Amino acid sequence: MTEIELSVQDLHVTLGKNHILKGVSLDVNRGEIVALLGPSGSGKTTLLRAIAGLELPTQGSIRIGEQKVFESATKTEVSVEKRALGFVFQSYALWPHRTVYQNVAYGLKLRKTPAGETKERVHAVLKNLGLGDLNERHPHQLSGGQQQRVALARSLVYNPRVILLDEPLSNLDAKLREEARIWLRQLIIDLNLSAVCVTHDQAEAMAMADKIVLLKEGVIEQAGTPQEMYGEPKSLFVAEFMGANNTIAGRITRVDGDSAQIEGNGWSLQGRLRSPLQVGDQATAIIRLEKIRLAKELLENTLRLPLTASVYLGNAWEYVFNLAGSNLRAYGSEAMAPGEQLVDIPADHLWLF
Amino acid sequence: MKRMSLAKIAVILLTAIAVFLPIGLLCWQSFLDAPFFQAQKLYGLDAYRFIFDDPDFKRSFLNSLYISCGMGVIAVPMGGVLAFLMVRTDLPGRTWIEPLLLIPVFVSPMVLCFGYTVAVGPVGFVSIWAQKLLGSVPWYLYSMTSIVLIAGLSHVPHVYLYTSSALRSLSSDVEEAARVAGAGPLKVATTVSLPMVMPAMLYSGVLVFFLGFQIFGLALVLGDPEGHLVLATYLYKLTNKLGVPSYHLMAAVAMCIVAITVPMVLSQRFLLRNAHKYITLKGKGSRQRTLPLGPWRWVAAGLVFLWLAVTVIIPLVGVIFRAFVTNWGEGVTFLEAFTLDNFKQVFEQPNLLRGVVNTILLGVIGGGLSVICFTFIGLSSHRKNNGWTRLLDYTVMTPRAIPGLLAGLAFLWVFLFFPPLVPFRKTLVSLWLAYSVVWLAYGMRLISTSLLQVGPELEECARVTGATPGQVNRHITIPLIRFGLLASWLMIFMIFEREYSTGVYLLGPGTEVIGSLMVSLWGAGAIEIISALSFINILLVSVGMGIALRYGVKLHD
Repeated sequence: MTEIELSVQDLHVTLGKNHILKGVSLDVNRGEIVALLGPSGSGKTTLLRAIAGLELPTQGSIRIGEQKVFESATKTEVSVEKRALGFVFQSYALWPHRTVYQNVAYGLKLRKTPAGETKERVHAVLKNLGLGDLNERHPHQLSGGQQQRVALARSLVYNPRVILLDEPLSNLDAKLREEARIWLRQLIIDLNLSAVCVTHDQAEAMAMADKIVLLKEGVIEQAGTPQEMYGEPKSLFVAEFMGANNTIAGRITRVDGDSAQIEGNGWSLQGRLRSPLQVGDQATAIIRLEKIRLAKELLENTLRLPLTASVYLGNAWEYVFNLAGSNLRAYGSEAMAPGEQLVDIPADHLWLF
Repeated sequence: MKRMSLAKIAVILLTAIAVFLPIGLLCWQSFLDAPFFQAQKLYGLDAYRFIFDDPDFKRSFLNSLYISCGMGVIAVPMGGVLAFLMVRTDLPGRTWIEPLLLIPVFVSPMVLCFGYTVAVGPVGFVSIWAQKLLGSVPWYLYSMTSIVLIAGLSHVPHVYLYTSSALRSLSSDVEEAARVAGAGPLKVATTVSLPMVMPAMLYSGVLVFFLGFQIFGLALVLGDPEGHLVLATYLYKLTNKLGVPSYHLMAAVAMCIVAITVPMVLSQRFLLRNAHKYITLKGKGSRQRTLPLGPWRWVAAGLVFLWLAVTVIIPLVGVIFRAFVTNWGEGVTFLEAFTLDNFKQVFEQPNLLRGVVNTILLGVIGGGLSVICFTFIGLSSHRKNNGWTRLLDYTVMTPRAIPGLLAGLAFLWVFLFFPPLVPFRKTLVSLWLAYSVVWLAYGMRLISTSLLQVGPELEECARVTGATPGQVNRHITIPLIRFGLLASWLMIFMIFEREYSTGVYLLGPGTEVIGSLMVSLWGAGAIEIISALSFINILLVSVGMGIALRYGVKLHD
């Protein structure tokens, strides 16, 4: 049985004159990790801050566990400190005048935990996060990765039911980030926490989350599992945001059920309709880079295209073809000389919007 | 979290009352024909009619205008050039010139002007020396020209402070580009650097202009011998002139001064808002590289030294010298005239001794209390933006437009006739409140500079962790700004040691301070005692500056 740990209904937030969130609803089940994804300015951090109580919504409701913490209709507003959430800030927000121990113990001190128990729990959480020897250090004496774990320890030590993470990995360097996202996901699962994590990196969202919520200009564009978001995008925006794509502009020339034909200057391709289009409509065809293959023979959806560049990436080669003046990119396993090539574009993966 | 707590609203309201009640009283009084506490009084414009008909008032106003304009003409270009030399070039001795530059800001104008009279006055020791050397003294200290010149030179640091901080935030590659394009150092300063910090210079120009209208001590000391009055000294002399305290006339003069300074302060606010739009090049990325002046550096150093000599060294040396001699004149040698009697007198006369002790108490304890109050005021509007904080904004800004002399007068009336405060009239509480209000804008700038350096997420994180707003202040915000608060205490100490005009009307048994004692002793012509008090005053300010330099406290922005 799944239990809803955090529920947001029809939330509106206005900051100054800007309407940042325009009716967002979201449920987080116990033990679930939800990633809030979106371009900058889409309102993902505002949503996180509104859940924590750092922004005052104008409309809607927020429930944490059984407690209504905000409801515009009844003018309910539980203040920030009574919501008992964990929050990891993008900058970590470690208090520079307190040691690691004091930083982590602060939440327990505020909850009037006995001294002995405080000590035990702080040591336990620091040990669990691999920070056992750093008790007496001040934040400026720590590396970026250590600071991030102290911030996490500080928000976990008082056992919140829900933990909110605002781009928790963005201040780590690229290598460390890839390790940290796996480690962080495992930690949250081990502790059976519910988590909401803001990120602008779609790969990070897919690696960490059970559910992705993609925001655009203050509304949810699409929400679902990483597989749904990547494989079944409901709009051009989602398709473009969730992976590395080729986009081709053209005109619909034939519609047959959910498949259709799109044509451009000197080319014609079969694809799958993902939005209602009529014959004669201008449309955008989109295909993930990794779905394009080189073909040995001319098939139904194969184009003969000139190769303009071949770039070595280390783990693969990236080919750049010229399709009616624009670039069409694909991956391959070997170097290729410039010249005409047969390029297969599978109709099932060519989405027409 | 957007709602204001009652405690915060109470702090803001109390501040507003402390600022607007005395000013309101002045304003109300100026429209009455008798003292406001008398039963029989009528509303009218008689007070204004009287002063506008008085030729002395007209002369004072023109003198004030002349001084303000002259100060602007002298201080703005010199301050700008000085800032450029100090910040951007390889001027020799920049590190030790910097603290000397700030002396006119922290030493009372009473002390400096008194120093001028004993050094370059008609019988001053420099004058006597010049007489011997040249046969005659080529200057006359008590003319209007001298007054304007001294006022202008002593306000160069005000322009310097604003311009130099703007120059520091300007990337030096714009200057390097000009050098590469073929401009010499002077050309770079006048065509690139200074035009780019124009808003800051304009802002400080307005500042100098309205400080000119507030000038009191300088005009009192240097204008007295020839009867040159300015608005503030006209107000001060009104009582002598009519023989009786004429409350409505004093209030009317006060309102005239305020009517000139308030629009200036408001226009500064407008300028500041635009200045941010103007300077686009700032931030961490801007590198600072000094411009080599070549042989010109010695010429520049000579000019800076000349300014320092005239503005700082001559008056200070004069006053210190005078404090240790019995008399001075032709044929007197220092060793013959050397004495410590002047100081003995200070320590033997109970009111003078009390003045010294009070000045220290007001600076140390009063300054500390003020910083605590300013911190409460700062926290009450911290990270808030609503009607209440806007009220506080204007409240904090207002005292800048009120010269200390007027504020002291207004507070005297408040303490005389506002029943709950009457018992405090003859205690330092009255002075402390007046000082704190007069320096409210300055103090709040110190505090808010510290508060702005605290990252908002540090406070938000404590809230999420479970701290109430009060706990956040106690556990996070105040501990984080503790060094800033200590530095503010030191700055307020120095400013309170320097202040003289606010205490003039509040002076009485129990409320003597060095500054106001000097003003009242000046009327009595007690040169020796004023010298000794000046020396003690310089000593106290030096202690403050010494601590500041030792611990690396920034003396400005």
